[in-house]
Amino acid sequence: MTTDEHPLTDLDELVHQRARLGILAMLREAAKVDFVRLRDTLGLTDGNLARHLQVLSEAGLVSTKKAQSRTWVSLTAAGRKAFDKELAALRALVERFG
Amino acid sequence: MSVSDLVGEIEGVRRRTRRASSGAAVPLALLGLLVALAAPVYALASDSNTFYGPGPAYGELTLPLAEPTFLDRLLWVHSTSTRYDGIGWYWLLAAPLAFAAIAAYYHLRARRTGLSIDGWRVAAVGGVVFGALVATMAYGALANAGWGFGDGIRPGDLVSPFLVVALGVFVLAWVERSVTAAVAGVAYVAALGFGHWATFESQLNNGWQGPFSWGFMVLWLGVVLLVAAGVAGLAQRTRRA
Repeated sequence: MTTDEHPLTDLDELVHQRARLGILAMLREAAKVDFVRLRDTLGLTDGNLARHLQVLSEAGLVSTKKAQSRTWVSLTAAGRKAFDKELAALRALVERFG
Repeated sequence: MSVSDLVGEIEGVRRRTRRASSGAAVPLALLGLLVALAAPVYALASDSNTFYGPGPAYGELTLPLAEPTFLDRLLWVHSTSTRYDGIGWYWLLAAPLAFAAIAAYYHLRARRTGLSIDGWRVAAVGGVVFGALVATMAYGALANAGWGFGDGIRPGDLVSPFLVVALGVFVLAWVERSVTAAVAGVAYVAALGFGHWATFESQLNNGWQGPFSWGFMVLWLGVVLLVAAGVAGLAQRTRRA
């Protein structure tokens, strides 16, 4: 986008949803996060979290892997980029409108 | 929820995750132990500071005076001029054990917290650090060969397994994003430099003869890392409280 465009145009609807932003935020800080840890930290139900992960996974933003009776979730390169871009857009909004 | 609240919430989640997933105390303590436990070996080696082999420890064992092989030199590399291969063996055996202990700690921590670092990254770093250790010792062995006693500080003296430990501490600081570990690394390198200088300057540097003897110098180095581990542990507890 050009600098004259409205910051809202930079927001990604898929990423912008609050729970998904929370998931991506956690994954940005640890290489892999356990499903249970995500669920408990973000206060989601199993079904709710599974649904969000499915959406993010289908968009290629996260990947999941089962190991030793646990499901580990990690951020893909595209996910990292999408999260950073979303956070930058949100900060730009805060800066512009308070 | 306003946008600024949302940004604040995201930052909060990131901060809490970072706190929960980081902690350099245990790896620092393990590296400190690795160094501190080398002290008796260095003390023993320097106690027999002679070209004719260690005295007290080996009793009447006569070491061969033939031209040493490369492997002999590799295993002798340290900062004294003895024919004592305990130091080489110590690093070759204890360093992989320390690495395995650190890897086990990360594995257990991931299972406990549900937050994990990249296993391949730890393995790669461990491989590189151990490779650097062996390369360091090989360099020391080659550089020290033929260097006469009394010629001053030999090239190989300046590159020792202790510097590889320093590398490990800085890698740890990077992986954990730990300021404490970074400061510990700087303090450790400074102590290492001072220790080399003080030991060469000291007239009583064999065994445990004085504070600047080889035994104590190595022990102090380990203590630097152990103290840093204590500080990191306290900081972790405070942050999580």
